[in-house]
Amino acid sequence: MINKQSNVYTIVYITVMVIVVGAVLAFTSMALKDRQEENAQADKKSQILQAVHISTTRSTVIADFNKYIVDQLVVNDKGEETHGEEAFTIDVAAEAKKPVGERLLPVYICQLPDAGTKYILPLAGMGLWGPIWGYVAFDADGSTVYGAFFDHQGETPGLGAEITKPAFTDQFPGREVFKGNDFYPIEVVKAGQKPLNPNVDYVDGISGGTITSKGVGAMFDNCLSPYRAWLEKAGNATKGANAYSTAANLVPADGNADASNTMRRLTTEDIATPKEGASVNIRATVTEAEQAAARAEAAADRTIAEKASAL
Amino acid sequence: MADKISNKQIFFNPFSKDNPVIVQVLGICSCLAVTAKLEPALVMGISVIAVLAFSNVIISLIRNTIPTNIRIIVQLVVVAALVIVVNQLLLAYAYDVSKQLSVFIGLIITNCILMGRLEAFAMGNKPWPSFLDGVGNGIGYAIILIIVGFFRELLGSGTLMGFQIIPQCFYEAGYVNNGLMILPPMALIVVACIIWAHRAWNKDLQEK
Repeated sequence: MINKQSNVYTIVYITVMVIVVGAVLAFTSMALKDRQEENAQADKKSQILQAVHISTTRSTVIADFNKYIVDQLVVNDKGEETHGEEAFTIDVAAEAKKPVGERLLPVYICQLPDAGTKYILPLAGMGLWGPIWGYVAFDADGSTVYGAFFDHQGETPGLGAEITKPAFTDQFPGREVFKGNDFYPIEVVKAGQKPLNPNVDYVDGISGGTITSKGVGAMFDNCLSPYRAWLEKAGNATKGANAYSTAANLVPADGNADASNTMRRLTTEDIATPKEGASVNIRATVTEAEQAAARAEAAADRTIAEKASAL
Repeated sequence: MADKISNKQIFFNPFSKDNPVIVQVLGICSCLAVTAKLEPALVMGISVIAVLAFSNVIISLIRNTIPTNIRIIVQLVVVAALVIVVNQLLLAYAYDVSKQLSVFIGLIITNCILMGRLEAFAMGNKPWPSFLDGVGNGIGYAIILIIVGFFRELLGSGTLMGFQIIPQCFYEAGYVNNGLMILPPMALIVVACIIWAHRAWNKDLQEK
């Protein structure tokens, strides 16, 4: 009979136990890894789609994602597209901690049959107990919010966790981040209060979930600001393209077309022979397109100047 | 001693007479954390039943081999390993549930009811009674969680399982949700009220 109180027995026992338990855990983890990753990806896709008000089930999510998300880009804080990284695999939470200039910023371009092009941008930040994240969808103008989705790891149920509920997220659609030439990521204020700057669009926070609500506000500020240049560019391109298509009564041009390009086409081809019904507001729309192009150029100039001064 | 208590008693005693929460006053911390809403309370209850039952069985199976001086460590390892396996399985097969559970699943390891049952029962009993004891205590714990969650969600948010229960006309007439119910201290007060009612009913539990 072995002496169960001896040191040797204890050491052998604990060693065997650790090996067995380690093997069991390693086996479980290996055996389930593929499935778990698949689930995590499907979940991310369904979260992205929820930002544009599409709810899917586990079985349809991949098909829906491929149907609605027509393009995925990675941009930098100057609004330029970068290559070599895949948007979907970028760890947004890690990017959000880097200095603005080094961040890789994913953009999901979504094409909805009834509402047109939307840009979906990922957000990541901290709540009270742990990470919070979300996706915010912008209209093609690059300024108006179309929808928002938030999730969290472990905020208090009934308080901070309410950020996932429609009562909170439904406040976002219609808010604008560009006011004139200024960029204000949406603020989250205590319910009933107003932000210090009256120009800023804001939503009401959750009463009792102050720190989580502040976390959402900080997340918008931190994660949306680097997108400013890109949103401006995308918005201007759309405005230019829209002005062009309304004036010439044509099918909408590519939303990503360069504004100044559009201008050139507009002046050379169509103004000479305006189509009927469009001639009345052609002056107004041309002016708008001109302004859009001017703004885009100004933005480009600024970027060049910044680059020059950096050198 | 084990022979004197029937399996039926092992299973049903923890529901009321020997309830882990309101009689033994164990597991209060998780009671406080997960009962702001009914749904997490329910999910937590179910997970504790599963983990408690299986860890009781495993410890009971190996009870005669465990060296006495490291028994607590062995118990902890078994519970922690089980909790991780349950979490991994949920991640693979019930992703939505696991997202809600992710915070609470870690709490199960620190739940004193588990250590209490392993140490007090599974170390000295055969696997089948240990299994019944685990399920019984898990249910006893879950019942209290659900009662507390029911009152806190109903009075604090006006909903149950996320569905609006208190009609809109109440709010129009000036009714306001009691925000205090969502905060942790109210869990203790609700538990205390349950203990009060329970002891008023079971006079033999009252301390002299």
